[in-house]
Amino acid sequence: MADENKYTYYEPDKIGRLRNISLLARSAVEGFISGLHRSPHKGFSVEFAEHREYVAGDDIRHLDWVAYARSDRYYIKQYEQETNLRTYILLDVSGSMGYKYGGTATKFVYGCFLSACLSYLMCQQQDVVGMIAFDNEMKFHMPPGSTPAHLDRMFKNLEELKPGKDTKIGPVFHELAATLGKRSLVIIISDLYDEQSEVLKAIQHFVFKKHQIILFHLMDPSELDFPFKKVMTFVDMENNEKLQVDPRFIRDQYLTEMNAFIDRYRKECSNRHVEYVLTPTDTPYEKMLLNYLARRNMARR
Amino acid sequence: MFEGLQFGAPAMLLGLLAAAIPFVLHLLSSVRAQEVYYPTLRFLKLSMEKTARRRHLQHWLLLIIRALMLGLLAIVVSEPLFKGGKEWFNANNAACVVIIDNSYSMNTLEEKGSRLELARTEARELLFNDDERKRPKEAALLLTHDDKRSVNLTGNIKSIEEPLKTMTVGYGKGTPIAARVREAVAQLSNVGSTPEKTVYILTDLQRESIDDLLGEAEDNVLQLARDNGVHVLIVNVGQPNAVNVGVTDLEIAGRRIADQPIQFNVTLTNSTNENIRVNVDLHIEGMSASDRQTITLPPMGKETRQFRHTFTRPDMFSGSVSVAIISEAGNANSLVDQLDTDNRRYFALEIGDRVRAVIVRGHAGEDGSGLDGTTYLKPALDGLRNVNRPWSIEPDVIDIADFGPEALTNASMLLLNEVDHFTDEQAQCVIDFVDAGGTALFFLGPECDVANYNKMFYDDLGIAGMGPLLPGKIGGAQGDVGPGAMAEDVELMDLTSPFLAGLYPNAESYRVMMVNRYYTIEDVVAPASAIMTLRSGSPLVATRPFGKGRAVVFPTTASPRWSNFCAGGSPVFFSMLYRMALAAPQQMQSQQIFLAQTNVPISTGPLRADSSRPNTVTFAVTTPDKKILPLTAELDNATGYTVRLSKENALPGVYTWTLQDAPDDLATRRSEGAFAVNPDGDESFLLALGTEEMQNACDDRDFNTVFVGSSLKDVQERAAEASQGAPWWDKFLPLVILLLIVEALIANRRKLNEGTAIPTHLSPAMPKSA
Repeated sequence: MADENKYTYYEPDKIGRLRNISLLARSAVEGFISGLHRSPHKGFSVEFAEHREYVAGDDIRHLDWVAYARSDRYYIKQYEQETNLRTYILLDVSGSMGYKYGGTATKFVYGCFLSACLSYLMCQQQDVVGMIAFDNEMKFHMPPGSTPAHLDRMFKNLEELKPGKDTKIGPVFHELAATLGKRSLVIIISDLYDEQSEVLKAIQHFVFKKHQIILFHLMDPSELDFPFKKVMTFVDMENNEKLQVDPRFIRDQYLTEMNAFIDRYRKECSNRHVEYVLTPTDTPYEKMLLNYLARRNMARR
Repeated sequence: MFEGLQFGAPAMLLGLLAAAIPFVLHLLSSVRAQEVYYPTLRFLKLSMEKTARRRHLQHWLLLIIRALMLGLLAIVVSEPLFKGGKEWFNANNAACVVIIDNSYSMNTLEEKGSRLELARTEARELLFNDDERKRPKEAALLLTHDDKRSVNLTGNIKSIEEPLKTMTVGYGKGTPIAARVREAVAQLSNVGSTPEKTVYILTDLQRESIDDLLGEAEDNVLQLARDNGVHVLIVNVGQPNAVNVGVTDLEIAGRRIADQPIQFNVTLTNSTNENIRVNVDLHIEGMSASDRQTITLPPMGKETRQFRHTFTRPDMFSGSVSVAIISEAGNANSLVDQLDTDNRRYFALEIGDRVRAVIVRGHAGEDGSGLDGTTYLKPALDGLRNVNRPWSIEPDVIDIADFGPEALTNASMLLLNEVDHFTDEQAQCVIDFVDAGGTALFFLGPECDVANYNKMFYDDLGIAGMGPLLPGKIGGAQGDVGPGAMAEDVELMDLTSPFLAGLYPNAESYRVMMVNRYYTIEDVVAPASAIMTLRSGSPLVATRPFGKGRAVVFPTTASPRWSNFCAGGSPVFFSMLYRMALAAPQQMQSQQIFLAQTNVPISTGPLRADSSRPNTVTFAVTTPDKKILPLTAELDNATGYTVRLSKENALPGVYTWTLQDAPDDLATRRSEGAFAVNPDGDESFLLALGTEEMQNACDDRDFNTVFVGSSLKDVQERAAEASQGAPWWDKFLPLVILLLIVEALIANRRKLNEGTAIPTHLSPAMPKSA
């Protein structure tokens, strides 16, 4: 898999850069998980690690009777502890994600790269990753897995995706929150163009279910800056609605509204212990991830 | 509301169409809006909703402001004038003085009548306007050439109507316009409560008239007007380049004596900018008196021509010199003289009889010695008498015993040759003769009683208030006669003397005069003078004015006894005598040509005292239009019966007069006469400033309350416009319009350029890409 790249959204050279911080990333993710989800099966995993001598108080169920037969001494089997990190990547593939203004990738493409990168990294550290693509409904749902075959299927599925219809984040998230059984890490990659209160309610639903959430809010730079000057007719990418606008007259107001939109997400996410990451698509995703993880690590210290 | 609204440049109103430019640009930009994909319209809609009111307000406001600006600019550059809305006059709140230049250049005919008529019409329009609101509250009328018809500032404006109606041009030297303006400002300064004070000057802007107005003097009247808050509105009723030729001067030279040639020096002017051919004629007593002269007058130039005429009899003569433009037959473009008042100049002159010279021989009869001066003097004065040619001097010889007042009847010249001794009566006769204007020549000889001469004519006359008759006191005899005796020649000549001037430029002509013996003349002081001086320094010819006449002393003999004067000495002597004789008749040189509209004196001339004469007599003066004016004259012994023709009656032309019931002792020529009156020649040369030229001259001198126009309406509009402020900005307005249009075009272009920056993949015309 690593010898020859046959996937669109898998870029070994860029992910390779992330390998250097994989420990950091791993520790960040692991620490994150272990800090919040202390395993009830600690020390009793399936993978043997070493023996130690029995001491009074040890559960005799873990005595290695074979070793005792051989050496006539009591040994306790020690197993390497297995993490139980289960990650779901929720990728928005609505029509609005197909937008780009300048030379950068569309938000959709950016999201695909980001998804592939995160999946690969998770799998590399033995975590299981699932993926759900959605617009106004779930487009596909891959249960979590960590095998190379799982990654292969995931990457191929990504390549088959295209930006589609309008966004209905609320219903989709509620449905997911209800179906995801175990507490998981949920990574949402979206431009969040849906009714804001509905989106927040859906996120609250995940929180309520004890899921940890990281929200990558993808935005094209032109959406943040609104650089237009001449009178134009804007066409909605999701429903083809048209509106003629003289940008010079409304730019200030537009920026005010946009900032309020982002600020509300930032504030509400903060209140719900949701990691909110505003992600302009002109920033390379690997750089964005490096920055994010470094910032995250700094915050933990 | 817009009644009276007019536009100086109505064509510029087309610029109102420019007001549509913003709307057109707006429509164009709306139509060409480019479509572009965008992720969501939610924020755009929110922004549109929240900015809708401000956006619409700003949008329409911008459009309206741009349209208004362009429209206003168009209106402004079209120079709107609310002529009816802001009259320069405030109703019933103005005082004005109307100065009318009625010099005779105002007689120049323009298309609508004479300049004076135009001035009259404008003045009527100003003072008696049908619209009562436009009439001034107080007004005055000042005429430059008519004091009697001038009306000082009055509220009874009706009183101006009659003078205005009856005024005519004046032909003489009037009151300068500047003086009238000064008078007007003084009158207006006394009107305290009237805010608008105006002097109107209705003139044809002749340089002659207005030079004073534009002078550099510190007390310039226009400056004075400005300092006193008085507006001066000058209406130019003349047109430039008027066609006019005229006779501006006539000088008569020569002895006004029968058989003497008279020269008429005529100055002609052409006020036109091109050569003009004219005929010039001399008429005497209605008859052509000389060949017609046809000449070409240079543009804006002067030319002098001469006519000669000899009057063969004594009389009063009158006539004229006239000029006329030669009209080309069949040429409709022939020039027509617009001012014909100056085409004729009149004269009157009295030609006197031949000069009667009385030669008094100092002793009875001829002595036969050949040394009697009388025998030399008579031929010297008789010239061509013997060859039957006209001669102006008529000499008679009498003995001293016959000398008395009767002998001097009608005589102008008295030659006293070697009179030994004068009785008191004879001496008094000589004194009266000279005092009355005669010329007395004394030739001294060996028998002369010097003491008697000094007593009669020098010493005892000092108390008369006129000084002595003789030019100096006669002293002792000098020199010798006889073979081998030394003679003296003439050393100094007074060539400025009228008796010698121009005779002979060469001094040798005088030095051939030799004198062997002579009496000295001492104490020759002004007004006496020596016109010839011997080498010894003693005068050879000395003269002194006395009364109206003159005494001349030759301190030697006219005969060859003591000098060679007559015996082939010098032609100077004869010429000198001839001149003295012709200069003798003083009354013939008196003035008979006067400037129009001056008080012309009419006089019989000095009369001998006679208690029997009446104190008053009546002159019947016949005017050029054949009216007879009876004028009563009082007796004055010095000037005779004298009266003055009033200014108003002294109009151009020839006047004759006769003395009604003339005293019997008056000679005919003292009881009738003639004189001529001519207009001021300076007015004839039409050299005027144009309206704009005058305005510029005033502006250059910072006379900012002076306005010049070609009509009353024009000048009032100029003043009104100036009172509303100078529209300095209108010069920039076309540039502003241009800049606005350029700005709009550039703005539109910038938008187009920006349009090309929209990525093509965002166009709905392109398929969506992942």
